[in-house]
Amino acid sequence: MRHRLLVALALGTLPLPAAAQALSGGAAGFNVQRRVFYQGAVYQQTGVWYGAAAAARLGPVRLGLSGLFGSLGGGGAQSPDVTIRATTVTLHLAVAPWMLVGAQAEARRFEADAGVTSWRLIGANVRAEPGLGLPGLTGLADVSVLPASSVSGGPSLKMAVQATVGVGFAPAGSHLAFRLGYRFERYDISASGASPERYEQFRGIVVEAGVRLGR
Amino acid sequence: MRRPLLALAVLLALAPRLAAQGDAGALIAAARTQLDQFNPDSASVLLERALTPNSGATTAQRVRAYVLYGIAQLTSRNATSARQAFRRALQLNPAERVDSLEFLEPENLLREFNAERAAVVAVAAAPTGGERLAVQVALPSDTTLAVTDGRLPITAVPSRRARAIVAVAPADAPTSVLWTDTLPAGGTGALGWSLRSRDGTLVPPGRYAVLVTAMDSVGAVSQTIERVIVLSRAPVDTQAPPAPLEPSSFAPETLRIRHGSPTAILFGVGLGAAAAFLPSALGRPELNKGLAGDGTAYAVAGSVTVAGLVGFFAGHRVQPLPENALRNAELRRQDATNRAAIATANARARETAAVRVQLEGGGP
Repeated sequence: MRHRLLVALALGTLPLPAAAQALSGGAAGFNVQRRVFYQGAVYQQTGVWYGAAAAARLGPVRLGLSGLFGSLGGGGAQSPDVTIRATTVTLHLAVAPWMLVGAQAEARRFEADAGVTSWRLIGANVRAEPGLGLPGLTGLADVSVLPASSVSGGPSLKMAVQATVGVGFAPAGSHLAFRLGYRFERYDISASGASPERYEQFRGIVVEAGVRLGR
Repeated sequence: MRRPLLALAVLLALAPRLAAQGDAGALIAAARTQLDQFNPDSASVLLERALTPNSGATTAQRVRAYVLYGIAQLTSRNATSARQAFRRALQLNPAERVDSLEFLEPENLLREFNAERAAVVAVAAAPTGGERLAVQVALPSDTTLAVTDGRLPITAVPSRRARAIVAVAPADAPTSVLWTDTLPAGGTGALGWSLRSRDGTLVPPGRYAVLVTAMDSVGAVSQTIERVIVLSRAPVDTQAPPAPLEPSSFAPETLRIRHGSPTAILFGVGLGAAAAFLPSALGRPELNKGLAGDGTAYAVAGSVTVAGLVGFFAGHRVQPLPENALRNAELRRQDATNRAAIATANARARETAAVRVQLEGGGP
């Protein structure tokens, strides 16, 4: 069901308010490398996540919804393969034509043979897209600090930070938009019971392509 | 209250059509119905239509219309207009009686009507050696008057010592008097109409009836003499508005400069550096220890930096020129002021244009 929702968002077929000044949507790919530090050892997994994102802007307010799903593997016996699904909602206010400030909430689900783990990541987000001198050519800096985060039924996250830096291009006279970025995520998970602290980070290239309608 | 208003609106819509058809009888019948329903204003509107020169009313119909109009005016507490209407009816038919209509205005109808009958009879029986009171009217056949202080001279000469009453009304509504004046008995000279109605406003161009009646000291009244004049505005010399400002009249308000803003380079290089150092800046040492730099981060960093450089060298920016913008604004303001002055002058010229007055049937 969730996959259908993401596909619908990507195709822009969901009914959205006609009063919106701009609608955008697209597909994304994230070539991920995950590294985990646990009990003095570092484990590494890789994989590719796919997803879609959509946003509607009404005046200075922008509401965004995105989803990613994919898998991570290759970590050996100490780090079993997992399937990941992430759903993110953002609510932004434009403080300048090129800068958005707002809140972000994300649910991330890790499913492995041993069981399912869910994260709730909640915090603030700042997104800047300054022009780079040519029509449609913009930079991208997206930073999320998620202090109200925790593992569902488990410990809290001492630190949760996501950052994406890159460049975007929307050809003049076209509704298409493309984006290339580098994404980095860091999560420090508190000790819980007999389990010591665990550190995780995700990083890799993000590629997005989509359409943008409206002003 | 609402029903009479609705009826009046319907009648106002129907009246021109009935009059255009020359069906004065229908108008009079409709007016009578309105009187029965106690709608004197509606009845008056219909009767004024029936009394227009082009209504095709016969003499008997005109007598009937004047009588009903007088009754409507009595009902509306306008005794002066009522008596004038009765007088016109009796001048057309001195034997006219209104006894059968008394129920429409039981308080005043017979008294007022009979008073006018007495006055008309007194004229007919005036002891002046059989000479009936008459009045002669003289108007310029074609004259032009200034709207500020021009006056149309109206000369009325009674056949014997009597005062002359002059009234002006629209030719198609002779009962709607716009102006009236009286030349005293024994007076000489002309009365002057300033071409304005009672409220002081200049009357619009059109056909107007000049109605002159003489009345002597014993109440004898002459037959009303009617002359029709045509008012029109003399052509005026107005100024043509200036041509719209050409685009070439304006100086450019912006200057297009080759190369984008230096901030494009700053943003490109800055974001590129951020991408390159993101893992080491945000990552934990435990997770990055012993690893070489992240190639994907460098690839993105290079892409962003190149984008910034391309944006700067291939782009352009627009520099505003405030002096030219101010000059253009002043040019537009002057043009608007000039146009407004010309429009005002033209409007004033039209307002003060002289009025040409031609006597209908008065020859060239």
